[in-house]
Amino acid sequence: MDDFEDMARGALALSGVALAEGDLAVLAVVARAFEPGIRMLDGANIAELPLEGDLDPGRPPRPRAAAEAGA
Amino acid sequence: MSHPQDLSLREQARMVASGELDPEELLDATLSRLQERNGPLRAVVATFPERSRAMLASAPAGPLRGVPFTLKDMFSLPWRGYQNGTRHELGPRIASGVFRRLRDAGGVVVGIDNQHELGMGTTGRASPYGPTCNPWNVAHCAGGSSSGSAAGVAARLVAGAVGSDSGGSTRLPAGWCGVVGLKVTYGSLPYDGYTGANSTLSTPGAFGRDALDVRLLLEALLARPLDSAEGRPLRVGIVRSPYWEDVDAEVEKACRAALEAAEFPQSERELPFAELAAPAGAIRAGAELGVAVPDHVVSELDPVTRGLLQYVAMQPARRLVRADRVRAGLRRALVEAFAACDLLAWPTNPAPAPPLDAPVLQLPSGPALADAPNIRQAILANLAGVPGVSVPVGFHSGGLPIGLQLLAPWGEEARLLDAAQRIEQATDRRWVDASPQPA
Repeated sequence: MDDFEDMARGALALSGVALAEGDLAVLAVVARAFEPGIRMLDGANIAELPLEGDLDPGRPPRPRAAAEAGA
Repeated sequence: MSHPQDLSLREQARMVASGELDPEELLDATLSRLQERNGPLRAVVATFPERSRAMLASAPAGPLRGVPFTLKDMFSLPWRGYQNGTRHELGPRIASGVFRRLRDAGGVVVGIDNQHELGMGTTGRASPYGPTCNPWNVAHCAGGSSSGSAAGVAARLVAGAVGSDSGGSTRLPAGWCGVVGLKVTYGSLPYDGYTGANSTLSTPGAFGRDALDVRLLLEALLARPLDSAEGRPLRVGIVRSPYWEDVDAEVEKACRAALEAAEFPQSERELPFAELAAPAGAIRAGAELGVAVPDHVVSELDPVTRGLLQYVAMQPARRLVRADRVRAGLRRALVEAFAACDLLAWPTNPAPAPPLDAPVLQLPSGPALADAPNIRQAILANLAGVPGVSVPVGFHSGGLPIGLQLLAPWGEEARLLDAAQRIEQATDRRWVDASPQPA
């Protein structure tokens, strides 16, 4: 069992998601396709990016000061 | 008179209202055209003539009275729960909000569109009904996930369709099929009976052959007027990185030519964190689209769709939090961008529709599977919640359409349609009036 298979089986077992015979090869291809972007996301410096706690995608975000003041 | 489905949507509506066109004849002609043309395209997967006739018989005298439409398989009807591109009814049999808006405007639903399975792909290849084919070349992808909605309008099966957009699923197939496709502002339509009800990314989307048709359809869906704003020229922001980089040269040239022809004042804009939109959007979309798919459905899925669901299930929670922090940053960056310009513009798809048997885009950086580069172009609008439109702006040397994407601030659908109409006029309607030969 290689590292990817080990990680995939462990993560999916924790999630309660079944992995059928033959799924692993496709899953590895999918993971490879996403890997460059995911690596970028994991490595990005987002220290200055707070969550938008009151997210409403239908409206622009509230100004930071108003959001922080709970206005 | 030519076939009524060669008329625009607004001409159909006008002629029915004036008595020049019998809506029963329009319905019969539409059902006949579906019989004649749908086979090689697989754009529409279900029709229900008796239900459509009953809808017409009770249609109120609204702005769309008697006009036939198709809906993506993500909206429930009173007689059919949404199946979301599977063989199973996954939603309740109810009048979804989108259905109600169409019905109350007098529209007639004549069919359900094919789509990429569970909405989890941008090619339209994975479907239990078989792939949707591009009307401009049936050996090529129609795009997705609203593949049948775009292909059906392009092939003149119907003049209008309603799809959805969680990561470009309206704009991307519109671009590849050469029609206008508009994703609305998040939350601007009722979400009941819609697969997107539990999503922070998904919105319905409207398809038509040109901006005026989409305006009429959207006014009915949004239940408010979308008046054209006469006045100063619209200022367009060009976000070079990453949206104009790694794009097919002919696609870039056609998009730039359309913006020049429309004489929009242009300025270069930087959008901080834009390069992170695609992975952040993929993580958020995966988490939202992958929930609540029953096991018996999962076992029947295309292997790649199943692999995507499994990949989503492997993601650690901390990654979703990082994605949401990037999303917050992108939304703030868009507010700043829209303070300096009225619209943002870039190519809808980075390359024309690839062959169905090899869905690989030929990009300057090399060949790439279609989904990642397509999503890169599209998902910012979903993360932010803003509306976006794809407008036809040309044809690639291989004969396939090219689309230009425009984004506007929250609630500014009318501005997008003004800009789309301006482009259509400035290009002498060459691209929106073009029609593929029947397959």
